[in-house]
Amino acid sequence: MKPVRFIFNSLVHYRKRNVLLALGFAISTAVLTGALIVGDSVDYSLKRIVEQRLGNVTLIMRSGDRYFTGDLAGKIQQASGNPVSAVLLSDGMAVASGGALRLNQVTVAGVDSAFDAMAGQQDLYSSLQGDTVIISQNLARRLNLAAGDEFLLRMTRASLVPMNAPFVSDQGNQVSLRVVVSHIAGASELGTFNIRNSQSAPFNIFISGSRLRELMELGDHANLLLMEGGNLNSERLKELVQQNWSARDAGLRSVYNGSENILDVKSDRVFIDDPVAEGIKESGAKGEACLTYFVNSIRLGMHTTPYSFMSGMESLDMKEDEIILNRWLAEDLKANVNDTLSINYFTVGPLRALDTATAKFIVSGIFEMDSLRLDRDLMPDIPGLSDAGNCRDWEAGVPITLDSIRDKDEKYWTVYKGTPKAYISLDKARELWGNRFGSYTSFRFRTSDPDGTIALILARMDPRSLGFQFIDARSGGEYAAANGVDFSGLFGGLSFFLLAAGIILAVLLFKLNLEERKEQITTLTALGIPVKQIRRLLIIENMFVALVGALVGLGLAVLYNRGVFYALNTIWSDIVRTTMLEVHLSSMTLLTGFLASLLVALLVVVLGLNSFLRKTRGIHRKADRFRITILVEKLILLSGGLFISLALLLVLIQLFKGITVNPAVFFPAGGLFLAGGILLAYGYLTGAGKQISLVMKPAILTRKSMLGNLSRSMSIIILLALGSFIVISTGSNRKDLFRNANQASSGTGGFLYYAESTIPVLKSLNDRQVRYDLGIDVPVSFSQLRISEGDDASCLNLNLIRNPRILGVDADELNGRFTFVTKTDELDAEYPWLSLKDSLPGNLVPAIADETVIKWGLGMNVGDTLEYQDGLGNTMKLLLIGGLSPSIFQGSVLIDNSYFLEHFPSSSGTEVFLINGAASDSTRIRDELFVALRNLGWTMELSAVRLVRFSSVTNTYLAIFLVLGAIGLLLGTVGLAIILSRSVMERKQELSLLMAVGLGMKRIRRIIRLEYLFLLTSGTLIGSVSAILATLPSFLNRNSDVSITLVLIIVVLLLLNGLFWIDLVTRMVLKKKIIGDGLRQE
Amino acid sequence: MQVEIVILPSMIIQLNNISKAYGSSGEANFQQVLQDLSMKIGSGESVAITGPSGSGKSTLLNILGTLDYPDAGSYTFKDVDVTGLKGKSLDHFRNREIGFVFQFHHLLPQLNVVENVLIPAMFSEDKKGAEAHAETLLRQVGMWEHRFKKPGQLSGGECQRVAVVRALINRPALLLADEPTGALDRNNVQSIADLLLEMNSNLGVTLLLVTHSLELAGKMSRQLTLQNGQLEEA
Repeated sequence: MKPVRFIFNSLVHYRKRNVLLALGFAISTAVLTGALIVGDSVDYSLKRIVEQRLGNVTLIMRSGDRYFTGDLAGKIQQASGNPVSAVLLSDGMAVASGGALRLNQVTVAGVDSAFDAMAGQQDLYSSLQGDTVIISQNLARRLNLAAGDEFLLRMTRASLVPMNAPFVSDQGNQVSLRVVVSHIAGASELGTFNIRNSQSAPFNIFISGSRLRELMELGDHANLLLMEGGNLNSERLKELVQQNWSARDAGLRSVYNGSENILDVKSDRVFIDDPVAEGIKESGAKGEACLTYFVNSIRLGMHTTPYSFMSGMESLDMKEDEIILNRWLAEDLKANVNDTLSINYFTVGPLRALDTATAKFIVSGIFEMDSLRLDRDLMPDIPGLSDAGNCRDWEAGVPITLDSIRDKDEKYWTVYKGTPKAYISLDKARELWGNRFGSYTSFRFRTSDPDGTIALILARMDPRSLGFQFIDARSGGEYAAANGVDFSGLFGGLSFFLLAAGIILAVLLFKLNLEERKEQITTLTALGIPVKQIRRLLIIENMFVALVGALVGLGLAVLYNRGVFYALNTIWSDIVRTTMLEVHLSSMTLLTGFLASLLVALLVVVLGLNSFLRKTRGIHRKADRFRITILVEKLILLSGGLFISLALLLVLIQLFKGITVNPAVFFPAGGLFLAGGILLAYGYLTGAGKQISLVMKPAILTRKSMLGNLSRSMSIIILLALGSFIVISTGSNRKDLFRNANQASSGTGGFLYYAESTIPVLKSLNDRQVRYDLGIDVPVSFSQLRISEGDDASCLNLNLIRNPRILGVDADELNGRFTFVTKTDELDAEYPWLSLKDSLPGNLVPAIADETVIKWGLGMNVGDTLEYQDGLGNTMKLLLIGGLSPSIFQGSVLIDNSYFLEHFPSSSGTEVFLINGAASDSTRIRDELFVALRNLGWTMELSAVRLVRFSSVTNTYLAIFLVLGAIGLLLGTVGLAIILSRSVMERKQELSLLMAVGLGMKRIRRIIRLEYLFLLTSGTLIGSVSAILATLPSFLNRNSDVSITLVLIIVVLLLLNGLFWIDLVTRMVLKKKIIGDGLRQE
Repeated sequence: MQVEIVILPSMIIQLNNISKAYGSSGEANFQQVLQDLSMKIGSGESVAITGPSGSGKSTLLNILGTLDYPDAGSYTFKDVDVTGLKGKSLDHFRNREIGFVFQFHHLLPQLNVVENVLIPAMFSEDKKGAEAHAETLLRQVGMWEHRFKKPGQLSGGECQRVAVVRALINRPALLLADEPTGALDRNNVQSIADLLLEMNSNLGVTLLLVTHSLELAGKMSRQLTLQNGQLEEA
């Protein structure tokens, strides 16, 4: 007789019980491993999404609001030997079905033939020509498009010139065309192409790059470079760009006059911005800087010359108040040396806010018209101005009074074009006319080697300083995907009740099995088998069962996961925002889950066995110490009644109060009801013990039986009550975000609407003229925010974010709005938003974001510093000085406009709008703004709706908790049935006696059934009713998605499930033979 | 003159002033079961212990079988102070020196006859010897041909016979039987009683038997009555 034989025989003999025990272990394994697989699968899916959205692309160069030439892409490809593709990216909107279907925020990509290599395709994208487009599947679905269908595409016009630069016309900043769908690209064809770290696929439209550039009159320029870089990194890409770029790639234009050896370097962007100017100055090439500006008038006494170009020249040795005129101007003004004249000019502020200013100068000299100084090339290239045929055709982006233009002015323009009429010192010119777009318009070099000079300049310039970004897209994307939301932990937490139920079930079954073999263990002890050996035998036996259970559990885990992922891709898609999640099984994860489950099983077996062996070795039975004195029992009964009455009173008062209810009152009421219910249940059970009755009824017998094992009865009631309360109250708890939505302190900031435009709005929508021109007549005011595009840092993005979207705000307009939940010392207590304007040491930029964005999106805390590359290629350090309670800004980081324009100087226009208006006018406001701003790709929604949309993620998590918790409770009722069967075994003699005195089996079963039904029903109802009371505001709130129907279904299912198992087990264990045997053995 | 030479059996068991109570002193549930009880049992004796229900017979048997501890007094077995044994040494002592037969056979239902018999020898060094001895004993009790049957396939009397063999497999010095015939019919009572006496005389194992049956008690060489916590020679 060997131990192995003992174990084997025991396993076979008790196989039915062992199967149940294995099932208990299988459930806990399935849940535990399931949570791990969920996390693994989400990580895998996010990585797959990275592969699908990037294709073969590993490195990316973005040029911000600048453009580089297609030549650069070709040179880099040649130098590196790696495929490179140049793409022109723009935002747009699509309109189909005659305007019935519109989609804003679409991404338009003008691609070249090399894009096929990025997509791993042959002749797909390179076959695009004319007005045919390839669209993504999600866009096709939204607009109901198929191959061959037509739709209207409207886009922001790409321009080499920043749209809000001085004197640049704001007309024609959109282009549109009718396109035909040639193909709908799936994920494997790079249809989900996205350079942002997000699992949500953008709406993509691919068009021939040459067609798009032709439409936008953009030559051969692009703004996105893609590389299949192999082992190269972003730093190497930057080096390749720097080695191969040309002046045109840097936005510079050079004109060489070989006869006079003069090289003029100008900017495509009208003004030469400071980083370029610095590069030129530091290059060692000696050039003369110049700033030429368009002034409104030059006046001397009664004489006025309108609309002229003036230059500030570095080479002129002049005092700051001196001015040199050309002969034409001197004659027009009748000016002489030492005369004092004044100039009037426009300054262009943010959103094209125009201001006029005046400056006075003393005439110190006059250039003759044939002087070499008078050079029409000093005029910068301003589209609509410098290329106009005559003055009346000028489109200068500023108001021009055509009546003031005289024939002689037209004649001057015809002969001399934009030759400056007057000259001042460069320093003075920069003081008057320098702006955020630059302080120079040209540099002049005297050189016989123009190419050498250009090369010298380019060598000193870092592409990053021009806002070029070099990104390790593939590795960065994979890192963000791998370090995003921890779904393993999340699902482990959400399925906590289910896991606990599985473990408790296993514990109950294990203990029941041990109870069945109590006599055996006593016999073995009596036979001198050491306790250690007995323990070892039982551990090995039960661990074998656990092993089988764990293996079955692995299979169940896969099924469980398929169910979870089906739900994540459908009803729970709110938390993942993609339908591309798939189950991924890794052997490592399965092994980890398997071993963890075995560890849990080992703990269950060892601890359970130790406790059991301690009790069985002892001879004395401990008395049931649960009863306490009668006076205390009476107090308990009274307290129970009091708590319940108080709870109901609180609820009724709140309900009768009217419109507003205080949610904070309901949870304590629910808690009081729970405590009161449990106390009353105890009172009911113990009250039966004092009953002196001359009559014995089944109900009395039932109550006395429950009293007989009071600790077990109360444990069941308390566990069921607590379990139901926690699951239902947590799963149903929803914040009413619509309540107080109009208040300034709420997450809406008191703004009625939140809106975004696809095409930037260049002017202030609060300007009367602008509103008149757009046809806006409703009483609203706008707060306009600038955007620096980045990754969405809201809870809708599962990836870890390091480059969030930055919004430039007017801190004054936000003062007194929203609520801060976390602060640093830098945040002013009284005027927190104004702290955004503060100067901080170390060039830190104060920033504010939603606390949830800081914590979960960025993985940081308030007080931390976020490093960000700004538009000048410098590292911007954003100090997070405050965290907001959930707001409409979720997903973005906010800085003041002053800092925004300092770091992103060429930002043109605003794309986010907060709209103030009366709630009673909301429909009218919406309708009118939609019509007026439709062509800008205008989307708007009530701020409160936007806020609630962000909370959909939390609400979905709560719904998942409710469902999984309910399944756990269902399992718990199975455990109740197991306790019932154990109880029957313990009470065999008692039940046998009942049979012996003439109660039939039917009546005996009814007594047992009643007993456990009471425990099940009282526990479940106490918990459920308490939970419903606690979360009553969520149920009463019309805007909440929580459903009383679902909760009632869960409660009914719990009761029915429990009833089923109680009935089944009662029939199985209460058999005549078993009961009868109870009297025959002692 | 004839001299009768009486060879007194050597003492195998010596109980001195054993006391045992249940419940807490001063409480209603306090019960003094054994009070200053002393007893000597010689090697090879067959002793019956009788007494009314609740007199402490099973308690005495549990103490003798080291399944329970006395509150006071000493228990010497073959000159070894048993009350001082603990843990592994106590298990080993019980395994080697004592065999138990209970009112209910307590055979393990998952094991067959021979496996049940060999349980006490499961961790023994001489497994082969134990197997041979099992065969001998089973043949002796007429259960050898049923050796592969499980308890569920045997009658009550057959199970009890197997239980007796199990108790003797390690050749213990002492065989304790607590109402061994209590659950059997008349025919089986006789056969089990005879079996026990046969083992006592053939194997020389000291037999201590608790019984309500005066008839069975009368077959033992000594009869002791337990009353008021004290043992009296009948």
